[in-house]
Amino acid sequence: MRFTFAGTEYPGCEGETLAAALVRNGVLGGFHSLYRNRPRGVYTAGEEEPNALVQIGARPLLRATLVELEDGLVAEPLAGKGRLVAVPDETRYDTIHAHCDVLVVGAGRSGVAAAEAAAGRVILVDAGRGAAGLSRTWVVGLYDDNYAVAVEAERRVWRIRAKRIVLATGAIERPAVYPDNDRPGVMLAGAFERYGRPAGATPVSGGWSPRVHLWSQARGRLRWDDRVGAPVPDGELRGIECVGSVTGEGLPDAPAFALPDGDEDAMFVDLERDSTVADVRRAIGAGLRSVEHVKRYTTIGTGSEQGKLANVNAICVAAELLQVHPDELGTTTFRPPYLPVSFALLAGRDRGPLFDPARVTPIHPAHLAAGAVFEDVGQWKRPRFYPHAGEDMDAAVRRECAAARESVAKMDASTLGKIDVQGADAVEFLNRMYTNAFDSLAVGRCRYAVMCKPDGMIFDDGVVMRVGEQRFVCTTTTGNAAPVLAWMEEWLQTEWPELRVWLTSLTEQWATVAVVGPDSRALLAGLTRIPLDRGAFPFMAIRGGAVAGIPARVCRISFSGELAYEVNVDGRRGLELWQSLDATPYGTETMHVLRAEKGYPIVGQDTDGTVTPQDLGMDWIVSAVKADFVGKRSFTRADTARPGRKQLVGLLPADRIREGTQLVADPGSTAMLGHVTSSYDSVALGRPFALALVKSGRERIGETVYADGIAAEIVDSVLYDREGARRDGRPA
Amino acid sequence: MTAVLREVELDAQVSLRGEPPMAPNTIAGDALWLGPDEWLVLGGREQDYADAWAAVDVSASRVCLELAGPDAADVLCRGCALDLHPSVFPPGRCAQTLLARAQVILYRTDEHTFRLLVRPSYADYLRAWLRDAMVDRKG
Repeated sequence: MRFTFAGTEYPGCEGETLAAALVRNGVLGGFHSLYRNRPRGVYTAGEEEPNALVQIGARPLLRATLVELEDGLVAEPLAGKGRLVAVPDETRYDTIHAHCDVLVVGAGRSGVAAAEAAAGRVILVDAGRGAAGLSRTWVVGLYDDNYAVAVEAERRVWRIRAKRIVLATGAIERPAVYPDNDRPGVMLAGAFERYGRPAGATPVSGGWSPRVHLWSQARGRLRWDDRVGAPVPDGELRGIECVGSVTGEGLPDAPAFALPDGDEDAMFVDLERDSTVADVRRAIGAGLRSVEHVKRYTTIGTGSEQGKLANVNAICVAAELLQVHPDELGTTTFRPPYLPVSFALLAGRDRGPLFDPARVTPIHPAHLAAGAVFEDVGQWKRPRFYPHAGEDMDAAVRRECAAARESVAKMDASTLGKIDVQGADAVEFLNRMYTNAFDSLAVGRCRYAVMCKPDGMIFDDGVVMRVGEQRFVCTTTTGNAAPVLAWMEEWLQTEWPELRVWLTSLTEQWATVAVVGPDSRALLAGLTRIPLDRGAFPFMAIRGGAVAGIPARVCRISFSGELAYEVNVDGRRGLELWQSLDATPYGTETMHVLRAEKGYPIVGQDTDGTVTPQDLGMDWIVSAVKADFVGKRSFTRADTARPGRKQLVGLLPADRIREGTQLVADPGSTAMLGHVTSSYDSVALGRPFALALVKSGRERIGETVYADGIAAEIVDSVLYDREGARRDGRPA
Repeated sequence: MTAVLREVELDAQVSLRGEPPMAPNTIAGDALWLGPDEWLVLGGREQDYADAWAAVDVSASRVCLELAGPDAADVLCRGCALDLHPSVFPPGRCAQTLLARAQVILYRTDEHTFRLLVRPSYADYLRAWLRDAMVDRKG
């Protein structure tokens, strides 16, 4: 087996670590320190290694003491910090959730004994290769309720929930502090033995420190133990116990700590951070007394080794310089992770296509086949536009808009949230949730509705359909489907438990297709026996019947100002419905243009949580007669009722302006009057236009404002078909 | 991994509200306990439950995937935080939980067979995730 280190090839042995192989090949140096560029070498045989850091391919900051040798391995030494590589880490990482009665951390004598004595399901983990239980595994984080996160061989994360945890984590040998204690060849006595007493190496030992990190992470207290010269676990934690040398038991008596004579600037306390006794003396000279403050001043313990070697010596040095007992200085708090863990490892399989679910509607295959360009709306993939050959987005949107305004077009609206609301108190419930009232809404009719938060700001909007005496279906915006259901449930369960109302999500039960345009009636007439003429099926009415042979609920709702029908069918037949509708498919971009031409706001685009219905010019949707509803009290607050609030208006700019642009009164001014919320090019208007929120906007109609130097006239927000003549389609 | 993934056709599902005489997170007949006053019946129609506080046809709201084989629990434990040991989660128990990043209703039909009810919009994601998880093996 051969491996390469710092450009030189060496022979290696199966089962050896990179550090062991280097030492065996006589490489006692080969590394350098981060700040002072001092030559360094392998110092330990474990995860506390401060010097021998390497980069292997895309993987930075690996400890040579933990890297298992493999043939052809190429390692570069690192001085204290890793290097990000532009190539992705292609390693497959795994995650496993595990449960047990007892988790034993450490398979030394005490750990194995604890595991053997434990009843039920037992998980034993240990850092050692070939150890009993899960080998080459470190618990890196211990959290509330005995939740432990462990890393196995840098390939797998274990998320373990244990009824009881036994910490048999042992102890770490600590360095001795003296001048030039960082020289290559100086290594801890335990490592010296482990590496077979290599020629030229110098063993040192400052005693043994119990490995209290996990106990401390779990908020366990520590107390100073004079005999071992280090902190040990103190007090009790529910469900966690320490056994063996982590308690100090069985550890040798520590030599009394004393600072030798000599150059304090060459007595290293933290090898990885290049911090010395001189640094600790400076911190104390600056008036710092707590070990936490000394740590921050000197950066001792803040390297990737996280103070495993340095912290105890830092306390001893500070105590010595201050002439106090170490217990008076306190200890640092250990936090997860115990070892550096790569983000890729933590991410596990949540990468690439599995990073986040891509939700698709039942009609998705047709969108793919039609060459749709998709946009992300929350987790949903929604068609943004359907380009023909040679078309860019603007051209496709112009064509799709023209189809909706002049003939007939269809859109997949299945992502809209839908909530079934039923029960004897359904009307009362809806009256409290929305700003408008539903007592007078007849069965078979629907109504646009707005929902506010208690601060009076718009939260969501949609259509409320009355499908039965005590039964409604409320639609929500795509992004708010889950939040609106949760919001309604919260009020029902915590504020109004007396209401006899039950909510059920129907979002995925129904596929919804909007059929839009002056020819939509003619198209549907060929597919259904539902009477469609305007007298039989008026605006905002609901009808049931078969469409293309599929049982459907059809609503005359328009988000474009055109004659339009929303056809809802069982989700499993959505694709069949779509394919039976001979109309131009259009995407969200065209939907946005069509609604903006009519001045219909989109919650979350033209509103941002600071906008009231009145700000949108929708005073009519706020009931003046209802006793109460969520948000009502806020409409009389001084700030909500004051003049000068931003209001929704239309803009006719000389050229395209960008959404989000600040609006000013003259090109040289920086005083903001408002901002652009929506901006499009309109084939129907034959020009660019925009919607904006402008201070006292409605009073400014006719004035000119500037967006990035482009002049724009403020106009009413309804720019197309102000009379609403198109809503009922072509005259019979 | 020794586990097989397939889709199970369920002809009907009804969401019922009321006070079922059922212990939490259990299955009685075709009814799965989902909450203190909520359960899901596999099969049937809205009209069959006139006595319920509310009954809603949700037949198209969830897809049923079945994962079967000696390693089925081993696959699921890669994305599900629940304890699926047969002593804790035997046949007859059900749970609403997360599998990876998708909400699922999970239940076990026998020691080596699990069913997952998932919203159709998440089904492609969940199938892809399961296929990926089936590549790995413990140890």
